[in-house]
Amino acid sequence: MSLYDFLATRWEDILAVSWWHLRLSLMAVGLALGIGLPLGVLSHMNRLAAALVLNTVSIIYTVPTLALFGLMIPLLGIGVIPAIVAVVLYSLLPVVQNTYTGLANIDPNLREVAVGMGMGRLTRLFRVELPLALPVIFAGLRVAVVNAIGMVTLASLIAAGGLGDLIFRGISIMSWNLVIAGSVPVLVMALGADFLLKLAEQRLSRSREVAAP
Amino acid sequence: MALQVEFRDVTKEFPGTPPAVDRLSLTIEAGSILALVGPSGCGKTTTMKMINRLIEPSSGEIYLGDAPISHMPLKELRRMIGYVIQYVGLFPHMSVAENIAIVPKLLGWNKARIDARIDELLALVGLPPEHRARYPRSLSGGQQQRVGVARALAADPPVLLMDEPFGALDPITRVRIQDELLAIQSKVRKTIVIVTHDMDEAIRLGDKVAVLRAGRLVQHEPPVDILRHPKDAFVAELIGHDRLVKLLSTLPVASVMSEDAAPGEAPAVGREATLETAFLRMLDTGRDALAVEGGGSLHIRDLLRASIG
Amino acid sequence: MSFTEYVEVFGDNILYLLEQHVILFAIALAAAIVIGVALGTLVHRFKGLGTLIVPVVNVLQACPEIVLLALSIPLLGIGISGALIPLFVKGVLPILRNTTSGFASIDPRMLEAARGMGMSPAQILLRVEVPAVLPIVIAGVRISAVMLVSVLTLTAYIGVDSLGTLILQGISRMDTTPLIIGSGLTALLAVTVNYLLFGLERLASRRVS
Repeated sequence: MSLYDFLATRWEDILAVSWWHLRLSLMAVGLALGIGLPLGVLSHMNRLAAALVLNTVSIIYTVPTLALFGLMIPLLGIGVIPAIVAVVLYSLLPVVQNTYTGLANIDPNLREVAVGMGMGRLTRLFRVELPLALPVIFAGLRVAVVNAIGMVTLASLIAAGGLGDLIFRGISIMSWNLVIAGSVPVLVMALGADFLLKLAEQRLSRSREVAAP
Repeated sequence: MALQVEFRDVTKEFPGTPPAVDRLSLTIEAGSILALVGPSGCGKTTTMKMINRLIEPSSGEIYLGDAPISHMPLKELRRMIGYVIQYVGLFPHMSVAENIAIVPKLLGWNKARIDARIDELLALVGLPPEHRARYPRSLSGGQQQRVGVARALAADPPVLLMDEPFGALDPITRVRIQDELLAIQSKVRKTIVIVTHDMDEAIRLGDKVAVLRAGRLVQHEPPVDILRHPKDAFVAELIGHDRLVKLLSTLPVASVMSEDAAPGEAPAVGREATLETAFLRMLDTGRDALAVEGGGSLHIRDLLRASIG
Repeated sequence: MSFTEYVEVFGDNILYLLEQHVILFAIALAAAIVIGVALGTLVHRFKGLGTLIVPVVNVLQACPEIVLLALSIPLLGIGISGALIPLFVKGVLPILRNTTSGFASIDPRMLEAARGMGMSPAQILLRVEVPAVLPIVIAGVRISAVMLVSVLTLTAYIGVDSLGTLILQGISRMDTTPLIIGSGLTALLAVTVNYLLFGLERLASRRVS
């Protein structure tokens, strides 16, 4: 069957699988953000927490992604939940690390002004520090999203679905149509997310520049 | 409203170094401007930051009005003290209005009151009301500095601290903004402490100038007295070789003129003009006396008297 | 089968897969270093080339490795070259990036001073530029190396033996023993490589300052 005929008959399936793939990725990154952002803030506030959290997430990051999915099996079995847990674990590093560096690199003059004006610890965090760190945090989010879209491809190995289903079945039955039908949407989503988030990131950081007096 | 600030025997020591501020006693009268001046490392910034307790003294006490500040709740104290720093420190993610509204919001003012206050302050510092919605990056250095002053004045604090506030501005803008600050001060009458390493700025702005060296107060007097009688070689060096020119530029004609009638055809000079202007006019016209507008005269002998005081 | 039994029975196979993994890694990394440094230097010397290469690099950066591997099958076939080429391409990127930013970080006044002292272009390169760029390039090599150790496990999918073969066996047979051996060895390899190159990086930067 030619690629064109293949796509003409199967495009609805491919679209549905792509949508599921994207949802899995975004769900995982959303969770990673929910967990990683507070962890990054905590690391910023407390040196002991920083050592503990930053080292843990870096160690997780050195485990090969393939192995991370595999290691989920004895712990959580197979399916969507272990797949999402694996992607969340892997996405923590860029989120935590960028939150931490973003907060650490704020102009100390601005922090001092905030203290001098009588802002409390939390007011300062929410009104000044987090908004100023946003471009850096956003850059971490972009890396996490792009990574997750690629990584979810492997989630098919532990029966969580996604475009990996098409790619791996394609490889095993030597159907290049299937491989392409699985790979191209992953590529498009990864590149699209990278492009859009980079654009947003640039706008964010431009809005935080101060003209030199 | 303004409050007196008083240092009583205040010392600040950082571990392993000689005291940054050494047994400082100093009174800043309510509604006056004190310029803290000295070379870097002399303790002037430490002195200032002890007022809003960004730095805590090792011993001694600072009084705001009658109240010792070490007994005041920290946030409350800081919200009573406006704070301006060299890099202005406007928050880039907030508009001009949002920047100005920070302390009023912390104090829980309602929206209508905050809005009215923003308009009032923009008018005070000479910015058009359209600037409310603009962001710091779209303002010039001088405009940013004005917003910084407006923000510090937002909650009508009795005390204003300014840390090298005009250090990053070009010389022409700096002089203009210094004049504007004096004009604003004539309306709001705050107790203002300005830290600067620039003696010219200290002389221009201070009702009194406090010269610090190695954490000690060397001289604390009105600018004219410091120019006339620098206490030692260190102060004289800080002032520079043009000490007397600076002195002439500080005093108005009215301070030394005589009521005698001027000789005929003498060039005229205003009562409020500086002695420097008058002196230059004498050099320019080759005359040794000027007629003062509104009656009286100024002779070159009067200038000699001015330098002795 | 218990852990020790597994190691006794399949010990030779584990060693063989480890060896394969290290060989593939060495080839991919060596090629990535040569091409990455060469391209990075070219991009620095000829700015026009940068406007051509940088967007390509950015796009490749966002491409998931597994997709590059899958797409290489129809193009390069199943086998070593199909596995190595896409991974080597990913490995080039951090090295290229750090090489150009390393050159860009050199203070132009330092180069001017070197010229002013009468150094020849070759001397400037060897005595001024290389020492300044080296630590940054090694940092790029470290990022590449750690990434390569990890993504090489994916080659198992397209029929090339590596530690990934053990992981894949574990997943398909739901057997944790090979899974843990495979991922443990890979992680150990990654940590070792990271540690060694980090040491090298510090050595190089100490010489500069």
